[in-house]
Amino acid sequence: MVRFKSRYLLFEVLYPQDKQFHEHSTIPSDESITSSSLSKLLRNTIAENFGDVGIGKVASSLSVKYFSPSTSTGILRVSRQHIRLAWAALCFLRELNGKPIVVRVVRVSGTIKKAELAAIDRNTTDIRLLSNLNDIVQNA
Amino acid sequence: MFVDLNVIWPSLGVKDMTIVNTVKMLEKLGYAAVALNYQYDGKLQNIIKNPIPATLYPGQKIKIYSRITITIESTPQNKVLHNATKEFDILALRPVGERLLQQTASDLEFDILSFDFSQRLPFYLKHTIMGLAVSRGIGIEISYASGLREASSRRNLVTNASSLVRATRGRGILISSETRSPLECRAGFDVINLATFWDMKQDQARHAIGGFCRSVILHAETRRDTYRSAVKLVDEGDATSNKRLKTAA
Repeated sequence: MVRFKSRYLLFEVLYPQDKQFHEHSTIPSDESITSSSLSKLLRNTIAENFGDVGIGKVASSLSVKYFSPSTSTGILRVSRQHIRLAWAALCFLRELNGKPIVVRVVRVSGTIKKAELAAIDRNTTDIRLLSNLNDIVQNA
Repeated sequence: MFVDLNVIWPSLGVKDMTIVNTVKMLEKLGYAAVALNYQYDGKLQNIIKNPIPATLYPGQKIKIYSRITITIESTPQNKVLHNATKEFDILALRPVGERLLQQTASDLEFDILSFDFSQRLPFYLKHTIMGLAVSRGIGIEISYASGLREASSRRNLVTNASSLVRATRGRGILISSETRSPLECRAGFDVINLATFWDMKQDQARHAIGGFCRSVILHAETRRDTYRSAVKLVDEGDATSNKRLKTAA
């Protein structure tokens, strides 16, 4: 039985030129960015950097499963064979909605469940950090 | 543990806020140490002053080393290299021309050999010369920021980096960013993935951005502080206390 294996990349979008970049761990993205618009952008990047052959290889298996504009985190699905290509395309992505960005892949996982759990973990630590800061500010 | 040994020091120095933002960005992306690179390509003078401070901003956790890259067109005098070694933590040379490259790789004392990979190199990178440099402990540098700019520099980077990896069989290579702004920085694992497109193996790339960078820093420290790699003078306090000195990686 040949089973189709895929990889799920958990990535975050960083906005280095935002004024609050160094105070907060994540910067929210524009609400208009959806998983489908991001998927289209990624395909264009692959076509530009890796040509027709590159886009042909990943087209059937590449999809952005989840993207949250409020935390600027997303989960990308690719076939296991072409993970390097998709990962490099994320690195080459330099601009989103006119703003310059840096994409960082945080986790590579074989199942979407583990990728989701990793995203939830990151959000929990962020919330805890923020609530600690709020406590300190209130008690001061 | 990731180290980035090439972050370009702006000509305006600390007054230019981008350098502070770049180092903060690298700290956020998980780098443990950076080397700020003072690029020197004018006429060689005997004393070159080091403008790079060790701390750029309060609450800094990342370690900053100072580095100088001298673009040389003819053999520099020993005095110049010696003084540059004393002033800066790391010395890098960028030779122009094949003859000079051979001389540099075999005779001169320095830490990092660097090229401008965004242009077509006028000479071939040969196994013999590269092997000679690597056997002397010199790191050969690939900078990935030009791979994020326009299409021509991207293509040239892939060409040149692949031929370097072929010439050195993946050993003795150092990967750094040569970034001028926080937008050209990438996290360590992303860089490892990019390096696989230059025919490097994943473990070689992992070493190139972490352990090997530490080796180069240690090589530089050995050249500067020790006498013939055997004796290092320390303060009396350090010698009498039970502090164990870290050994080379």
